[in-house]
Amino acid sequence: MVLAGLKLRGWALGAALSMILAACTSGPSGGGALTVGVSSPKDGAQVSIPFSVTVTSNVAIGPPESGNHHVHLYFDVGKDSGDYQLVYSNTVQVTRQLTPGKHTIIASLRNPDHSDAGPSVSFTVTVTGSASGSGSGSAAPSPTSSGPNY
Amino acid sequence: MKLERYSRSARRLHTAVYLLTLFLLATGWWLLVGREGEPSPVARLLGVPDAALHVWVGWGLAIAALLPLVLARRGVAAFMRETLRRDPGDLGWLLRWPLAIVTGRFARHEGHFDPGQRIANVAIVGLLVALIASGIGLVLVHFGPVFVVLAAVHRLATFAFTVVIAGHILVAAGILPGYRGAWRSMHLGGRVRLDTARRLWPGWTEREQRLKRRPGDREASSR
Repeated sequence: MVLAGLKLRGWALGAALSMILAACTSGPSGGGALTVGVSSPKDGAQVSIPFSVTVTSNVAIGPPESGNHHVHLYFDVGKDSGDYQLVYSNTVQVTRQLTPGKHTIIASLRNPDHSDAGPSVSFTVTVTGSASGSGSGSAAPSPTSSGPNY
Repeated sequence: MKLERYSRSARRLHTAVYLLTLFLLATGWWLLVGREGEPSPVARLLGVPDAALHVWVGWGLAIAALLPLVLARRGVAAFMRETLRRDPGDLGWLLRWPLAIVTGRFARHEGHFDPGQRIANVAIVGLLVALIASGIGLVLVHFGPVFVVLAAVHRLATFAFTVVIAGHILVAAGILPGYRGAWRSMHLGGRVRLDTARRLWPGWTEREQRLKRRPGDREASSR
């Protein structure tokens, strides 16, 4: 009897812990898949350093200590690289000295612990030689992203 | 004459834990000071992001810290018993400590660890448990309000642990005159000179010498 009670209590504790973990690791409210996109600059746009990148997502973007997701921007490297720019709000200024020419940027949605949350989007920009202002791209072709959720 | 202060297995565990811990402190502080996304020299060398390196080595520390609980329960019990002991002269020892670290004239104590070491042991083990538990939680939870609490615990424990470990290294490295020679107890065979042992752990030294003279007593004392 006592043993059965202990087993039941253990089961209830396990169930409660599972529910807490599930609640902590569930997706956006509404249960849909996570998304990330880049609204600016447009794919293939011409930019000069520095330029702004505006990201969109169906989850709140914030620094890790807020418990929200954030975005990593990868410049001409894959998502497994350790070299990236952090995006803790919807708009970020890119100041790194990209060489003039075409560059591929991957915007990857990350969990606060910096692990990959899943969605990412890839776009290209052409950096012009002159550095004037913080334009977010002059040309505006329709996006031809290779990634999902653009 | 020299006395063996710690067994080979204890020294190996200590070395494994401190190498992993120092690596985690280095990568952890790299991330804390805002270098995330900028590969550290080690991350560049291994081609792995610092955050991922921190997690992998963190799992290594968790395993290293849990192994003694499975493989060396008697050693863990002895460590806990000696760490949590309280003797009448402890307060006096602590009051004389600030001057003794320079002069080397520590008050007598009977423990395997001196009263300062016992406090350091409690702080180090407590903070390691907090860091490992919150670290595992951060990996499992990923995001949300629980993540925020765990991240705060992990960050605060890192600050406190850094201070405690800096103090431990300062003492254990034998930089302070009073602790000269102490570093030998965990390195290069783990044997300390008799005068060093008498200065730092007088009661333990006398017991060890008695046991050396009468080996049969060692068995009796270990029972």
